[in-house]
Amino acid sequence: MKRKVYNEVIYDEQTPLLNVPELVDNKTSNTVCFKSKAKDMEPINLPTERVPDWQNKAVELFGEMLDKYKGLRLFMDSCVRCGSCSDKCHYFLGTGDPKNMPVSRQELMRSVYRKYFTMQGKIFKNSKDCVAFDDNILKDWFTYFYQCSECRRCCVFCPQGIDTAEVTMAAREIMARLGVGTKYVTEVVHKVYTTGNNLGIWAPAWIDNCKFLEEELIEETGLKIPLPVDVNGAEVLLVPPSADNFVNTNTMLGYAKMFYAAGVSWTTSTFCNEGGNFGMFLNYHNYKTINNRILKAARDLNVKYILWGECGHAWRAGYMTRTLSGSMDFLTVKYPKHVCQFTNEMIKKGAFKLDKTANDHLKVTYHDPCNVARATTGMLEPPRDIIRATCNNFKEMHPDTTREKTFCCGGGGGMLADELMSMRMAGSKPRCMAVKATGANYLATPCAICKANFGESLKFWDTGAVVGGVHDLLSNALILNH
Amino acid sequence: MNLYAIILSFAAYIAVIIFITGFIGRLVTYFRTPAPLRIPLTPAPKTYFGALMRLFGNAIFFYPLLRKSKFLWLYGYVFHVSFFLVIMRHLRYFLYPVPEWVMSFQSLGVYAGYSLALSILFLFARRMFSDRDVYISLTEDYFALFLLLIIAGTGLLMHYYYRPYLVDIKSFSLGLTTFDWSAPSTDLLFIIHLLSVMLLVIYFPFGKLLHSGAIWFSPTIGKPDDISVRKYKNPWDKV
Repeated sequence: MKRKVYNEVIYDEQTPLLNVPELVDNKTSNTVCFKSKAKDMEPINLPTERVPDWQNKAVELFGEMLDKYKGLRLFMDSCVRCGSCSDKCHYFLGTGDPKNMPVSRQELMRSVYRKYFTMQGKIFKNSKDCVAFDDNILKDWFTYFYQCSECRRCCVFCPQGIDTAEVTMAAREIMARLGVGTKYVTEVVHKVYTTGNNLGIWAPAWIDNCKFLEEELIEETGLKIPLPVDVNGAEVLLVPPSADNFVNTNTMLGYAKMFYAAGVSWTTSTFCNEGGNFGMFLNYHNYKTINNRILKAARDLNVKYILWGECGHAWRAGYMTRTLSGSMDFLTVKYPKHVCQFTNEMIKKGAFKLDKTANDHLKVTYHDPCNVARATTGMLEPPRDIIRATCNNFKEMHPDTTREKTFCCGGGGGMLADELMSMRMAGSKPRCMAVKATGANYLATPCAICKANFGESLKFWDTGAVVGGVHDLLSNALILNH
Repeated sequence: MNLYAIILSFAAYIAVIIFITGFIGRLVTYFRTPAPLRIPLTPAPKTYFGALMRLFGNAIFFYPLLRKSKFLWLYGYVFHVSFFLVIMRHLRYFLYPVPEWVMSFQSLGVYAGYSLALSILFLFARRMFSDRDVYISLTEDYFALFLLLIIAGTGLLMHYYYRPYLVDIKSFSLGLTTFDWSAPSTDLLFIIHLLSVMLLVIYFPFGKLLHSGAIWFSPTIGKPDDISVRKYKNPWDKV
C-alpha cells in the first residue's frame, strides 16, 4: 500500500486514490446555511433576533459553557497544533478549505477564548491569535461550525483526545442563544414540538402510512403483519427516525417483520415518532426537551422497554437519556438499547429462520454511521452480525474508513439542508470512493441521515451502489411462518 | 552574597511560584468542571481500570499519533523522552550528595541533549515547510519551540565549548533549595540558559504546554463506556 507522510493516500493501488487536497483559502466560505426565522426560533425558546449587546453576551455565554463542560474547558487549552487531525475531516478532504481542518475549526473558537479567558489575550491585545468577538468572527463561526457534522473522526486521531464535536456544539449553543441559528435545524426542532417528528408528519398521516405499509406486507407475504401505532401496554416502544415511515419504508417493513417473527408486541407513538434529536445541533435546552419526549411516550403507553431505531443522532441522544431525561427504572430494560442490538440478540437466540440466498443479488458493504459507531458506545458488531447472518456477499470497506475510523456520510450534524448540497457532496467523497473500491451495489447503514445523503451522493460520485438499511436485508432474508 | 545573587534567586523563586500556583490552579479548574454528558471515545474500555490503562497508554506512548504518521510520532516522542532525560540529568544540580540513580542519567542525559535539539529542529522545520502545518501554526507554537531551542542549544554549548564554572552554578542551585543564596557564574551562555528556563517555567501554565496536565482529565480518552451500568447525573441540571 502506498503511504506518504504529509499526503496520506487512503486506498491501495488498484482502487481510486484520494489524496489530501491543496489548501484553497475560503473555498467554502460562501456555502452558508440560511438564517433561522423568527417563527421557528420563538416556539423553541430562543431569541428571535440577535440579542442586544451580543458581543458581551457571547463572551458571557462562552464563560458559562466553559464552566459547564469539562471537555470544552480542556480542549481550549490542550491543543498543541500537531496536525494529526488536519487530514482527517471528510469536509476538508472533499473541499481543501483549510478552515475545515478540525484544528482550524477549533481555532475559530480558541482564538476568541484566548482573547477573553487567558493571560495571553490580556498581555498581547493586538496579537492575531487572539480575536475579539465581532461580526467577522461570528460570520466565520456561523459558516464553519455549520460545516461540521459532529462526527468525531478527528478525535480518534488526536493524541490529546480533543473532540471537535464538543467545540462545535458549544459554539452552536452560544450562537443559538444569541439568536443566530440555521433555518434547517430550527425548523426541524420546531416541527418536533408540533408534530412529534422531524419530517412534520401529523398523527393521521403517520397512522395512514402504517396502514399502507401493512397492506404492502399483505401483498408481499400474505400475512397480516401489524405496524401498531399508540398501542397501550405493548412490550416495545420503537423510536424510529420518522424517515423510516415515509422514505426508507423498507427499513420500517424490516422492523415489522422482525417483531412479528420474534413474537414481540411493539408500537410506535404519534406523540414521539422520531428519535433523531436535532436539539443536539442547537442547544442543551432543546436537546433535553426533545429527548424527554421519548420517556414521556414510554410512560403514556405503558411499554416495557424502549428500542431506538436505525438512526445515528437518535442513538447519540438516546445514549445520554439517563443523564438528560432522568431515570429509566420504570422500564424493564433500564438503559438505552438499539434495535440492532435487539435483533442481533434474537438472531443469536435462533428466533428467526433466515434464507441468506434471498440477498444473493446484493453485494453488500456496511457504512458505520458516525454516531452509531463512534459518538457513543461504539456499536460496531451488532449491525455487522445481522448482515453476516442475512447475506452471503458481504465485503468490508478499507479498514482506514470503517469502524471507529469511519467517514461521515457528509450530511450529519444538521447539515442535510439543501443550501449545503455542495458541501454534502464534497464531504461524502471519501466515503463514496471507499464504497466504489469495494464494488458493492448495496450500502447498508443504520442511519436515516446517511440514507438521505447517500441517496444523492452515491449517484453523484458514480459508485453504482444504492443505500438501504440493515433491517432491509433482514426483511429480505426472513422466512415467515404461515 | 551580592545583589546579582539576590536578583537571580528571587527571579527563580518567582518563576517557580508562578509555575506551581498557575499549574495547580489550572488542574483544579479542570478537576472541578463537570462533565455531564459522557463522551468516551470508541472503542471505549468498559471499566475505570481499562480507561486508566488507555489514558496511560495514550499519555506515555502517544499512539493516536502513530496512526497519523510514524515520522511525526518518532520526533514528537524523541522530543518528550529527551526532555525528560535532560531534566533528570539536571537533578544533580539540586541534590547533594548526588544519588546513584541521578548519576546513572548523566551520560544518557548528554545524548538526550542532542536528540532534544535535533527533534526541536525537526518540529520547527515541520512548521516551516509543510503547508498545512504552516497554516495551523500560531505565534505561540513558534515561540515555545524557539525557547526550547535556545535552552537546548545553550545547554549543549555549555557542555562542550564554553564550560562555565560548575562549582558556582551548583552552589547557586543548591542555595536556592537551602535558602543560602550565592552568585552563579556570570557566563553569558549560562545567564541566557537560566533566563530562558525561567521564562519557559513562567509561560508553562498559560499556554499550549498545559496539554501535559490537561490530558489526565480527558473525557474522551480517560473515561469508560459504562453508561448501561452506571447512572450519571448532570450537576447543573438535575432531573
